[in-house]
Amino acid sequence: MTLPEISSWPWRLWRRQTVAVTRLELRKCRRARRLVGPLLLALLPVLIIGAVSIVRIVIGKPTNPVQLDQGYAVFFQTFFLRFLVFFGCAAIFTGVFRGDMLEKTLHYYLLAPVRREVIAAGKFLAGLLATATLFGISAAGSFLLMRLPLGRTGLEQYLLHGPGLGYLGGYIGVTALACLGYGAVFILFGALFRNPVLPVLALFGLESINFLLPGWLKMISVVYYLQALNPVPLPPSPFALMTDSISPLLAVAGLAAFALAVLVVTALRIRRLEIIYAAD
Amino acid sequence: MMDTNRRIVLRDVSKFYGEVLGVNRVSLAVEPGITSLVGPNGAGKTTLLNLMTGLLRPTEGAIEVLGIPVSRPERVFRHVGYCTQYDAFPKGLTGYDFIRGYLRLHGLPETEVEALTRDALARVNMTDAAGRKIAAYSKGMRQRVKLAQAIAHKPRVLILDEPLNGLDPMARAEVIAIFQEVAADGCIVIVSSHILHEVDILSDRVILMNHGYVVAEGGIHDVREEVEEHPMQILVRCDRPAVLAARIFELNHAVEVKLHPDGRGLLLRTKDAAGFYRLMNRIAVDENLAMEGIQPADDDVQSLYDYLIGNEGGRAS
Repeated sequence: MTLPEISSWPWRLWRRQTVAVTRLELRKCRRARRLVGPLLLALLPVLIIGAVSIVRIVIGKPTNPVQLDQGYAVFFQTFFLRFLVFFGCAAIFTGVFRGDMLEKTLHYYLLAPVRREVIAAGKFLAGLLATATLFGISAAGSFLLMRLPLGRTGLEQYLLHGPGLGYLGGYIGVTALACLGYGAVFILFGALFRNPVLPVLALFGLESINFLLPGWLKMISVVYYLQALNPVPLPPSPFALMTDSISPLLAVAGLAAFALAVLVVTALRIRRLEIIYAAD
Repeated sequence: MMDTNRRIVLRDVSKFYGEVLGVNRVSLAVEPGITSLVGPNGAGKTTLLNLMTGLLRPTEGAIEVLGIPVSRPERVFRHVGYCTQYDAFPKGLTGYDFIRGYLRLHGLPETEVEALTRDALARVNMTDAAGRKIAAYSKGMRQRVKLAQAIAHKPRVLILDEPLNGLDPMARAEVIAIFQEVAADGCIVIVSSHILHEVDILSDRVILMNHGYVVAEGGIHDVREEVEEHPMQILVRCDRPAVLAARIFELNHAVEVKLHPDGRGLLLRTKDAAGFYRLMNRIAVDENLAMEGIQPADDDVQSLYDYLIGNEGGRAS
């Protein structure tokens, strides 16, 4: 048997091992009961907006693309991101380590010659792929269904000759970034807390009142970065504490740095993880 | 003294779960060959094995496997295979996926992963069932697929927690043969088991644990000799056991002598087994006895367990 040589920074080995963990997690994910909740959450906007659009078509309500853009922006920022993606990510990422602990299968990974940080990275990547795909499709589906009343020609016009395609890409990108940010926080919660429900609810509260927070506190909030990236900005809340808005580039970099910092803390926690299933 | 790069070394290792004692001040050096870890439920056997493999962190002390600290799993598990007692498997996997997924985690090339997976499954006689979901396996099959995982990467250290559980007699014999093969290659094999008569067959050394402490450890014969409060039991087979019994009493070399129920032997207890064997040669010549055999009757793990742990042992069989 030819075991790969271990150099001080064996990036190729880590990459192969990360891919192996991710593949295994995605395979497990297909059968996991914890995917049912996020699946239903992802289906919800498609059903709601689909139903609203059909009613609009049936009653023949006049539609204006700008109004639809504003309506979708409100729906996306207040409900889709802050509620559906938030709780969908919570369900998947908090279970990444905690779920394996409860199923008494975490040792499977820990018996392999893999750095614990690599296991954390592989599991995070699998969660990110699952949530970003699920909610990315949901965002795209609900976005297109919202424009159903425009008709085929109107939709083509909007997507190909108007701002539609750019907005669509923007919403999918913001959704993926939301999964990155929330995923990083929730994987840490799952590694830190035996019962992560209360911390998740506390974060939900904090994210909901984000607009009331002073500038420095906003910087540790995922929504703060996402707001700067939304394709159609919303007017600020009358109660909002005004702070300097950040550029989209800085928002992406800030969110990536935030996620990386949280993942480093998670990896440090996982390094000290012990298998004591009886206590769970 | 053997090189630490070929041994598992525990130095003053303690593990507490809050205020509950797991293991206390364990110092051991486990060498190549088969070592049995024996003790009643709650003795600390699994805790000790989990400490040796880094699944638990010691509260105090240090552990090295082949000279590598167990806090470095990325290095330790290149050489260690651990068949745990946990009977849970990642959902939705077949036996083949289970082994292949594990080998992929090693970062091996795909062709080697495939070859090693097939080889490991063949060694535990699971080739035919490899394509079935583990959820549909019997207890014995799950046990064998776990063993396949532990040996798949050809480790130099094989740690097995209750590996014979759930196996039928035929499968036990096959599995024991695998342990012996691995040990014959100069590897360290540690087997924790309740099935003492099988432990006896397969191991040269024993670690006896009770209440988180190592009660005794070493070669089975050496440990037995140290148990002075229980004189050694020896079975002597000969044509005239009554004559032999009379001479033994006359020379005052045994604390107890019993005639064997079949009338063709003696079961005796002596505090000086080596001295007794020398004496036996003399008596046999003097009395012209036809000797059929002399063998220790309690120089085994079961007896050590009975003497050192006794009734607290509960489930041992």
